[in-house]
Amino acid sequence: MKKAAALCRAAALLAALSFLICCFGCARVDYHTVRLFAMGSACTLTLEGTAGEDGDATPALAPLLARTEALLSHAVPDSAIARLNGAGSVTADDRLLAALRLCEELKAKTDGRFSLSVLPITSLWNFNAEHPAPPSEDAITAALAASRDSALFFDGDTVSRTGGTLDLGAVGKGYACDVLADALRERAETGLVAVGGSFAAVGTKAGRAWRIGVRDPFSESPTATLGTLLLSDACVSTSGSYEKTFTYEGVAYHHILDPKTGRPAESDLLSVTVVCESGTLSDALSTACFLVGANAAFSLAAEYGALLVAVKTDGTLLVSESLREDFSPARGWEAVYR
Amino acid sequence: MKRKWFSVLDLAVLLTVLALSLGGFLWLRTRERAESVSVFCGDECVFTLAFEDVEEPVSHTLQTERGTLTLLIEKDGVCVTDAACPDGVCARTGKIARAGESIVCAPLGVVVVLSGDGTVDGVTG
Repeated sequence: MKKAAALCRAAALLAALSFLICCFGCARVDYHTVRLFAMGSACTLTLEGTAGEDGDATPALAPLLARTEALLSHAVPDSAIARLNGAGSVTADDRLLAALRLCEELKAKTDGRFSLSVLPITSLWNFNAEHPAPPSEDAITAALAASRDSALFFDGDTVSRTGGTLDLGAVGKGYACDVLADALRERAETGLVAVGGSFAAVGTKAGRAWRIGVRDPFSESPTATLGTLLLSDACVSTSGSYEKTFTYEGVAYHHILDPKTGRPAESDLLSVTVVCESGTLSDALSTACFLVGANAAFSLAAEYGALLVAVKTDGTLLVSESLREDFSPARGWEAVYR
Repeated sequence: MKRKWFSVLDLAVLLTVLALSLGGFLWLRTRERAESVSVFCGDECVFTLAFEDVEEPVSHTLQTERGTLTLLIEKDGVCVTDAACPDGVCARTGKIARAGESIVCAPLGVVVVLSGDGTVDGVTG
């Protein structure tokens, strides 16, 4: 009997110590973060293991960012998009064809307010210039004329265009997230890919969801958040009128341009965050939803099974009902679920 | 005779271990204050500094290929005080103090990141 009691005590102590070890052990995260600049943005790869050691995915993944930029950037001579803009047609792989088809579909669903054929307009405004200024009325009229009647046509693996030349700024970062996320999945690894404000969460972070803050559009600080999303095997992108802005003669201008007016879009939204399975879709939808405004945004997102966190200009925070479990508003914010 | 399986001492030890476990668990998950700052120029980490080693505010100027950027590192956070970038977004970011926060100066290729536990993995926006 004495022996049984001693054994029981030892077992209880062992269990308690195991619990202690588990509590601290679970908090240890075996990931490392790699920071890069690509596609005009800061990019981070949060990957399993230790940097530089065997199995580190960095050497396999980092070049994919440069390759994606070389494929999509209209400014890179001989990129697929530069060739499509120049020659009027180009052969493309399945991923690029699917992205272009998706964007044409969104163009139709938004009555032309979302469009890739906007290079004449975006290069006119040139928000990356050292001293940006609004273009003249005549220049906007000319850019609108150059973008009018734009369309993409698909024939097998060839895509051709009419009308305006293409700028994939509204979809490129999400596309890059998909490329890198797929590469991680092929390696059967988990991780978090961030290209600018677009993220792809592959799997979980040591069994817990990845925690992604949503930027507070009323704060000047890019690190201030209005809430936190929990993501696993999902992508998220945000479009907001607070990003890439300039003020000229007392008037503020933002970078989300309306192809119908050739000017910064007038929307009742300050920012839209889209959560869905694809980076390309989340990136494209975030711009499209911003352009169509709050009411149409939720029905448009629903058509693609995407979920939204949207901030209206009056400060209302609208959140998709299905995100109730995976979104926590920050202190001072109250979510209206719909 | 009724047999006692646990003495008072056994129970005290068990409760202490459990309290330590729960305390440690909660502490690891709730602390947000950054422990260190890392400064990257392009892909290269220029330096990493633990906040516990910062006794007085220290100003640090980075000379990049595209211009200079000056950081003010204090015991409880870091900010960009001056940068030769056209937009000045990095300087307007203000002071960052929580783990996971960062300041990005894209024109100069500089990223300042605070590290620690219990924070978000990234910010979309």
